[in-house]
Amino acid sequence: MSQQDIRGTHLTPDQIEAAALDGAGLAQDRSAHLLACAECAGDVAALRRVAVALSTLPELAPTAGFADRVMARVELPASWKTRVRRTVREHRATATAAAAALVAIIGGAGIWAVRFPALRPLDLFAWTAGQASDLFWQATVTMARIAVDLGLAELLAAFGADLTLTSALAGLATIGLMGIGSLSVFVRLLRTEPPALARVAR
Amino acid sequence: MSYKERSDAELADLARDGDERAARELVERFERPVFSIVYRMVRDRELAEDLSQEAFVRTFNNLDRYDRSYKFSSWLFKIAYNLTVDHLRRKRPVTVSIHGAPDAVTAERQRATAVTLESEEEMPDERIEALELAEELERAIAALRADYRTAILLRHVEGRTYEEIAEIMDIPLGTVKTYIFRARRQLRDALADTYDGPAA
Repeated sequence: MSQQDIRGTHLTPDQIEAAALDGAGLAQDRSAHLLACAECAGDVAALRRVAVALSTLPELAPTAGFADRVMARVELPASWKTRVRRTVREHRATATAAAAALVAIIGGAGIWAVRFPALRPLDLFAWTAGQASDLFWQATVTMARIAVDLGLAELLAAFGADLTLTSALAGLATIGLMGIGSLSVFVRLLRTEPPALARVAR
Repeated sequence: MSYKERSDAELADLARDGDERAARELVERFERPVFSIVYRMVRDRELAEDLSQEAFVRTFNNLDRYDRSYKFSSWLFKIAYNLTVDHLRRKRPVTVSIHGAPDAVTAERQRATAVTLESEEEMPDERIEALELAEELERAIAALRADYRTAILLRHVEGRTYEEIAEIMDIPLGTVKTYIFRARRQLRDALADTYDGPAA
């Protein structure tokens, strides 16, 4: 490589950065140019000094309590535990009814299992489904009558708005009807004699 | 695993699920870098705190929009940078002395906006020289254009890659390189006297 080739082209900004900050990383001809060219060597040295000076800049700190002030203004999405707690608090009546229904179902299933151990679950399910279907139809008719009595438009408007006294009462009435329906199924099941159920099962 | 051992991305996920301790850990992890950049942009401690605080609040309140393919810190810096640039656009450009912002008319305001370095009493010569260089450097950085200043601080103080800087400042990679190259040139020229002694 001639002296002219070595001196020919100065280093590009990227090459100066590579030489100043990475130490190595230059191709052989570029390293040779750097050794021979005072201008490029000066650029590399100057960049190295600037980079070193910048790296010694102190990190500045905000005043004490910065994190507290930030956290006081932050509104994080609620965790699932908080969401559950909030939902239960806001819909206490519904939650209580749901919990009671769950207890009744589990308890009823337990009693049933003890009283009629011979009955197969599939037969029981088929019979219960038939009874529930009748009750559902009766409940639907009852709800329709209530809706007509209360005024359908008023009922729909109440459901469309935020929770108001009317919509809360309508909600409670629905839950009450469903609860009564479920209880009546259990009562009828408990009053039915095993032979009758056995006939149903056949 | 303690919060201090978790990665930024893990903490961001926890914060998105409502974990306040994770959010606080992220604030404590990044309050200094964010404040340092913002302060060096606006040269006003009170304003820098307000802008940094707003950046954190906006970051956390919009966590559901955080794209995990980016580094959390890049997203945070991007929000802080945009807030600061918006503020600077509304105000006139700030090129200030290390002794305080130009609108600091009272002694209290000058103290609040000055870059505070250590007392020079009973310090070895080398330490004084280092402090003088630091003062000179702060002054030279303050004299840079705001976008040059941001780019060079992110590169050399925060150690960000060119790609991350392009992402944070929302500019092409080539522009980042140009900004940093020009900023280095200006700093080199500004610090030439400090290194070589004043020109005769």
